[in-house]
Amino acid sequence: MRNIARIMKAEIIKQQQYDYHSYFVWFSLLIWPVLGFLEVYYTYKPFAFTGYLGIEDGGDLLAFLGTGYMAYTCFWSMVQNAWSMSLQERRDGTLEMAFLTPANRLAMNYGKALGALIQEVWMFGCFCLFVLFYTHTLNWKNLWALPLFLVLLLFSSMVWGGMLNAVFLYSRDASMIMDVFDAPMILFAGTRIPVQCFPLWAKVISLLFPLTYCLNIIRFILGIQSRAHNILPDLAGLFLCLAVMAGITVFLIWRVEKHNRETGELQFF
Amino acid sequence: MRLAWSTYRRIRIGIWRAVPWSFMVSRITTGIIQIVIPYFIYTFFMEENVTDTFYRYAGGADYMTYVVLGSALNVLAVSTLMNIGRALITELREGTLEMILLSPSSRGPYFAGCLMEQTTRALLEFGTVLVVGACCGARLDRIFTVSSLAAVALAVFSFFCMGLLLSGVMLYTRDTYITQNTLFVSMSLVCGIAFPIQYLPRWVQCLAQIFPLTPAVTLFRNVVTAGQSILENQQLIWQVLLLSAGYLAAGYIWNRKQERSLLESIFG
Repeated sequence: MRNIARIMKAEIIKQQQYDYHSYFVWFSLLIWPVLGFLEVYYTYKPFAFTGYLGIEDGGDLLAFLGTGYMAYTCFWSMVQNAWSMSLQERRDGTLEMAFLTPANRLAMNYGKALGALIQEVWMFGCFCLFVLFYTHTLNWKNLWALPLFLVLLLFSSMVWGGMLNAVFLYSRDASMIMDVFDAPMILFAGTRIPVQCFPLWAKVISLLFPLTYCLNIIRFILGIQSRAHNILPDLAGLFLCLAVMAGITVFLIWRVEKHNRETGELQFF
Repeated sequence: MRLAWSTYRRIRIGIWRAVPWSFMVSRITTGIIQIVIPYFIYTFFMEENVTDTFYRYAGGADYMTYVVLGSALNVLAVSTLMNIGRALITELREGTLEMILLSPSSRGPYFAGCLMEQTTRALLEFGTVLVVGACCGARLDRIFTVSSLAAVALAVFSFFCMGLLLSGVMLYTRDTYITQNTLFVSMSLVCGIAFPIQYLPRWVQCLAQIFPLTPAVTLFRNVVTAGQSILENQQLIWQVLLLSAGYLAAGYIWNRKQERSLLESIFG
């Protein structure tokens, strides 16, 4: 256990040193979410609110979009980090380390995903301030839930990022996976539009993304949108989803090593 | 011309052999999603409750047509800027920049080749957005007129000019990730892609005028939805041309100046 923690810590430190070399990086991490969030908010401007699904005015919408955007950004930064890192490492010739070290493969993989850890905590902090000052959905009564949200998001996005990371080991062409998973996640997980209003086929797709469950849980606790439903199905769904993903990750890492042994060397590019 | 053609072929072969899947799939999924999200908001969530203010700002265009035209041009802008902007730094990363700088070829045809290669790909995405948009109910019957094609060509030219400056900036900062994302996020916010810029504060609207995308997208919409001829929009055309000239000059001077110091500072 201590060993695994050490491996993960080493991976995280490695990523941080690689990526956070200037103050400009931090600056951009604040600017992007704010701009992106504003864009989504303004997209709703042409519409008149009807009170459908519990969103009655600009304030409700801000709270809804705020939670969606924050959770999505956590997931996105994990994926983005995993992807850009595996691309850089592939180029720099250090990706084959994944197979050459005696370290635990799974731990390394999750460590890589967790490289975005500090980024996430930062994002999370910004979001909390925003919600506190603007939408009044966060108050002294549900403040206890904040650390819970953080752990929830960190853990599920780590499993998600780890799975994609394992896919990225396969081929330098795997960045399409990111597009296939990332863009539909925005739509189907309910980051910008409530899942409840979707047609049935879209609802079924939304069940595939762990982010859907995370958002349901967070919005449930904050009392945004749907008030009268049970949290247990979401918790169960999240658990199941993450378990399946972890399973896929383990399988993929094993497969990819075998694949690379067969197709020649353990070297990439 | 030969240089432009060979640059085209070299980049295309590289993409085709190294990343054939990402090449097709990523362009098309992003294109589709960009339309489907507003479509879902419009149809399922907001149930077509568009305010009158929107119709006034949009000059009578219906919501889906407005959004589809905006996203389609935004897609072109993003991919042109991205590929032209990243051209030189990609060469640097792959280790071929030195060869380019030392060869007797000039930069003009080189960038023209990059533009050709990338426009053929971007048009694929542009087409996808339009087709999906048409399926979602956008009215695009005037898309194949001379005026609308001219508007698209003018837009691509202006993005190209901006991309030249961007390539200098990227090479100078040795960074693609932060520069490009900051630029794209701000462009899609202020240029009037998914909503009319009149909703934004006054000073942001003024700021938006420095991006060629803002006048270009207005021009494109005027031509396609209002059925105007391109010549009726002379003011917009002048704005696009002036901006292009400005970016072109700035990019040329910067790249020129930088090239002198580049060989020494990078390769020692």
